Amino acid sequence: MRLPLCCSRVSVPALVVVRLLALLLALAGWVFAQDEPAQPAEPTPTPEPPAASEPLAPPPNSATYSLTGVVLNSVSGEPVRRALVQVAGPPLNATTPLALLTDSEGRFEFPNLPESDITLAARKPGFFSDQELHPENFQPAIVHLGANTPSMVLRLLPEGTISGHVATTSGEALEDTPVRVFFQRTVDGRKHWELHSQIAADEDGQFHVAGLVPGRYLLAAGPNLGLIRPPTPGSRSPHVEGFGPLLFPGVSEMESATLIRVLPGQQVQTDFAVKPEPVFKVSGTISGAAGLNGSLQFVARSGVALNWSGNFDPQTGKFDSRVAAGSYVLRFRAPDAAGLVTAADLPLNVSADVTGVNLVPGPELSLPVHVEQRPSAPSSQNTLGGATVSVQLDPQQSDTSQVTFVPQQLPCPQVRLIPAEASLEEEALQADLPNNRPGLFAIRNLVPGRYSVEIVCHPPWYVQSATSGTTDALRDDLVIVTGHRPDPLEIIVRDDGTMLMGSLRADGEPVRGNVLLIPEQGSLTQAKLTMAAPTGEFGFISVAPGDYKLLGFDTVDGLEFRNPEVLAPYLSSAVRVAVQPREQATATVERVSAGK
Amino acid sequence: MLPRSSISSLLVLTSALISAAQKPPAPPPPRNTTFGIAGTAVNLVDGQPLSAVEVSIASTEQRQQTQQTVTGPDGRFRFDNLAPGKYSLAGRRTGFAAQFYQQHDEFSTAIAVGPALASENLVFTLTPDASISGLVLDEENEPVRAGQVMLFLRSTGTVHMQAESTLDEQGRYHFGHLRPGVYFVTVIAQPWYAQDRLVISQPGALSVEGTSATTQVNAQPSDLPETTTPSPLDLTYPATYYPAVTEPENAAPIALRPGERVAADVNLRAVPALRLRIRSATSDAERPLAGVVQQRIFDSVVPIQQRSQQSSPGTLIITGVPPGHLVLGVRSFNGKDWTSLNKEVDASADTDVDASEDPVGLVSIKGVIRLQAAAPVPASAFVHFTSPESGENFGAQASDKGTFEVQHSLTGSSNFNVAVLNVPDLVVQSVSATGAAVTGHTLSLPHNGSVQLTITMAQGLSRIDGTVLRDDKPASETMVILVPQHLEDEPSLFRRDQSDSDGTFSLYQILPGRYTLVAIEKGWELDWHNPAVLKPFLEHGEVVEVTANKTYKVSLKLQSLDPSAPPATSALQ
Repeated sequence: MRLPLCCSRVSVPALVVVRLLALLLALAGWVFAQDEPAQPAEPTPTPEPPAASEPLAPPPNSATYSLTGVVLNSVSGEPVRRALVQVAGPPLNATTPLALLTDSEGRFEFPNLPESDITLAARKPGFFSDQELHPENFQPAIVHLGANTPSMVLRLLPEGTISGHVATTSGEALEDTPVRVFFQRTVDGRKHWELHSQIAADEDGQFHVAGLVPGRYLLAAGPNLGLIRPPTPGSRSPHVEGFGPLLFPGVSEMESATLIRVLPGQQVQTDFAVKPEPVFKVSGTISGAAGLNGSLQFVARSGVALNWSGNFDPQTGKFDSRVAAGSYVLRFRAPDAAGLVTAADLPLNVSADVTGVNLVPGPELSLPVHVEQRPSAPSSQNTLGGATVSVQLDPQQSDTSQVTFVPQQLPCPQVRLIPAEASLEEEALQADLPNNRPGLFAIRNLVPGRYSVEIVCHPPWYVQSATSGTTDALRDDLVIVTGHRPDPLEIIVRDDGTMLMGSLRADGEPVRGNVLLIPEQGSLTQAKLTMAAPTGEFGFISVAPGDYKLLGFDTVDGLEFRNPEVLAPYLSSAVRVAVQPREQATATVERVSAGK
Repeated sequence: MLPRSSISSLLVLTSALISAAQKPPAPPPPRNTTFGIAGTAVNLVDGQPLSAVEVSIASTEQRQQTQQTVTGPDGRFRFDNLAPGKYSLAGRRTGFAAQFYQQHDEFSTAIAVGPALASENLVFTLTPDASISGLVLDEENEPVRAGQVMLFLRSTGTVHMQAESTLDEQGRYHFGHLRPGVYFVTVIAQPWYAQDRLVISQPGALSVEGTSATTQVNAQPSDLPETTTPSPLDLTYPATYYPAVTEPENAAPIALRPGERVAADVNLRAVPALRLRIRSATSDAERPLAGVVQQRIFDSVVPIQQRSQQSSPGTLIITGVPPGHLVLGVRSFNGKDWTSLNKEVDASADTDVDASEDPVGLVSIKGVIRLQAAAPVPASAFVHFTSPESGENFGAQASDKGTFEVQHSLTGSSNFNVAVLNVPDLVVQSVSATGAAVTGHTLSLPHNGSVQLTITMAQGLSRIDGTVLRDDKPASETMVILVPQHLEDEPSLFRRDQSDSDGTFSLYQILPGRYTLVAIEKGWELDWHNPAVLKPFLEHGEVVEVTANKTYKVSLKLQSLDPSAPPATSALQ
């Protein structure tokens, strides 16, 4: 049964288009679009002069005011002493300090400020301010300083720390073991791992990391291949043991690793218990390595790459190295000047010395990307977005005499493969144009795995379909298999999409927030996100015709909204909307709290 | 024996181990011509055997020939099938940094193996690592999370920087793997909350760079004259010595014993910061001035952490400067060349410094290097001038004809030792000058004018091989020094060694001249740089007249550390 639609459909009046565009442009800096003072509200190192009508210094008889307040620990509510409070905005006054430290009760007072609009910021080592926690969507609060300005309350979030110890299961401290701390960050509704810091254990095997924002962390220790052991009975030579890299608490696979959850102000103890393995020698040859200028790496099962610590002669291709017993992929990469990579990957299970390893590098797998533009009318080529379309023969398809449109300015410049599973070292792969040759638009240097496809187009273009062989890339993951050349990604874009405008509300009142547009037919990778202004207004441009759900949030910061399991509980609050070609749709969305 | 290769390269065991294990076994040599090195590794502190010590030997003739082993629970190690000769012996273990057998400074006792030589019952005493760590706190006892910590070691009369570290986010520092000795700790930091005063030097040029704290600028520059906005947070930390003093003479020495772990917390106290305005009338208007503010920390000149520099043509403003004696280095472009100027100032308030080029303050040195028999001067030759008092130094590359030219602005001291670097097998024999006084190899430079210098290099070097005797028996692990007749003026002629397990030693690259040869038991405990300390030993030493291109054989009687012991008798052969 088709659900009744909540929203009316009207044709797009030109005025609305203009207004929508103005809205979209103003969204990032909406603070200044309101009735705000002409001077910048945010501190900038190279300031604009204040408007001519504003006096530089207060007139002699004008009143001055004190700005008072307190800085609090946002977790404990306790005052934060010796926090630096900085005020920005008031006209420069040669006698007024604009920065001071809070007293032992966390209080501050700026005396003798003229009536003005100001912003306030507090910071202290060991704490995070809102601006430090969310630099990308931080909006400074503007305070009008005058007779009725209340006392201010600023809050700082205490940092988390991780301390730990790397030792063998028999208690031997492992000095100089490298320890890498990965932070799980949610960006654009997806989790991914980023390296937070790298340190080395001290002579007692201890390590310490501070400055951690609340969240999930993963620790990797090792490799350490320098544990010299006395000769075993019957042997005259000492032997060498080592390990790693291992994930906390001492495992080699991501699935068995323990994620460390750090709460604000928390001090987490993480002790690695490591079982050293014998260290073995791996040697062999890279065929045809001369002139390739390549590099070699072992990649552990955890996905952590080891720095190459052996010999490799790029001329002869001969190499030898050492690793602790375990499973690895020996990876050879040789990018040429244009960024095209010659590569070889060899899985190795090392349980004894391995000699005679031979890698035969070949051109690395790449996924050609063909974008076919289907303009609704010839004139539309020069419409909004400014994409200039030229016609050229695709060399790969010239035998069929098929003409594809390959614009000099690509309609969809960003085409990415995003790994389905967040791994420690793999990043999203992006299509590019070597030597600026549009015919070679492709995603290169593919690593086998499962990916979702993300396509971002310039308006007015939207993606009508994207397929690779029989895979519908808008709906299903693309699977890249070793040694198997994937079918090209065929993208069809159209320009007859529509505008979707709406209003975000909470209890009937317009509010600001984030709005998510989720296609009914497609994966969550195709969902689009926009921001609603404090007037509640939001808009999506160049929306493909089809059925959608709209979800409004107070904030999606930290929300893994591209994960169906995470999004599922919110979907009951979604509003459905059907979008027709060239017809503007409008919708009213009720805001939900992402924290619920 | 003088170890020429570094300990670490000798002890890079792990890769060498495997290749050694893979080598086909050498055919067993005849029994009576091979020998062994064996012994027990013990801990200096408790005398107990040490297990799991990586022990290695290397032939002193062919240093790439190394062998390794690891001691068992009894601390014993053994190397067999060695050809006669000398071998360096090194060891390391968790908690014991790499060290040579009987190592003192950069010298150690090599093991001589051969007929009638005792090399199989060694006691290899290893010195456990010590460490110094601590917490750096500010005036309110909060940790200082960013800063530089320097570790200085006092040895034979001077205090040298040994290591550098940065404070972590708990305000902690740590120096591990330390040898016993007398150390000092110095911290250089800026308060995290420090604010610079706004600096407006001229209309339209308003900038504050490199601030440690975000600085707001919100003014119309043209309406503000060159001025400053005071801030109560315009503070800085002076260089602070453990435990909480700002004068090096008040710094507390940390006497570190073997294996000891010392906690040395340092307290910093913020003081009002100064602003330096450096002007140069001779600086090119198109090129900015650049500057570095330094302080003397013991015998080193160390850059302090600067907060911001603002440069405009002819002027450089540096903020966040602590009061005290400062050594400024200013680089400016005079329209023709980049020049460096050193200026020392005592600053107790905001200070203007004139860094205009002052031709009166420049000494210009032109010279030539002469070799015997008109041999060509090596292309790498670099003439280096060092002040023994301040450490101030400068130099010039020599041309292929041996000529060199350098201009230098003296900061204080005027005495400079002359050395020629990067010339293997050549030694400065004599220095002569016009325009400056010369004593031995030391120049007394005027503060202006020009100096003509001739440096004569000697080849024809001699060598002394010898044996140290204690009661007519070879004495190992003794300090052997060869002292030139005029030590203070010719410090580069001084030679030093340590006797090996058979009592033998070798001194190389000796210029012709008159010397005194001395062997002192535990001599490394002396301040042997000091001629006054050496004097009583020299009276009982052996005078040697060295001529060119000869090898001397010497037997030398050992002197005890107590200089009143009976004089030695020795004989040149």
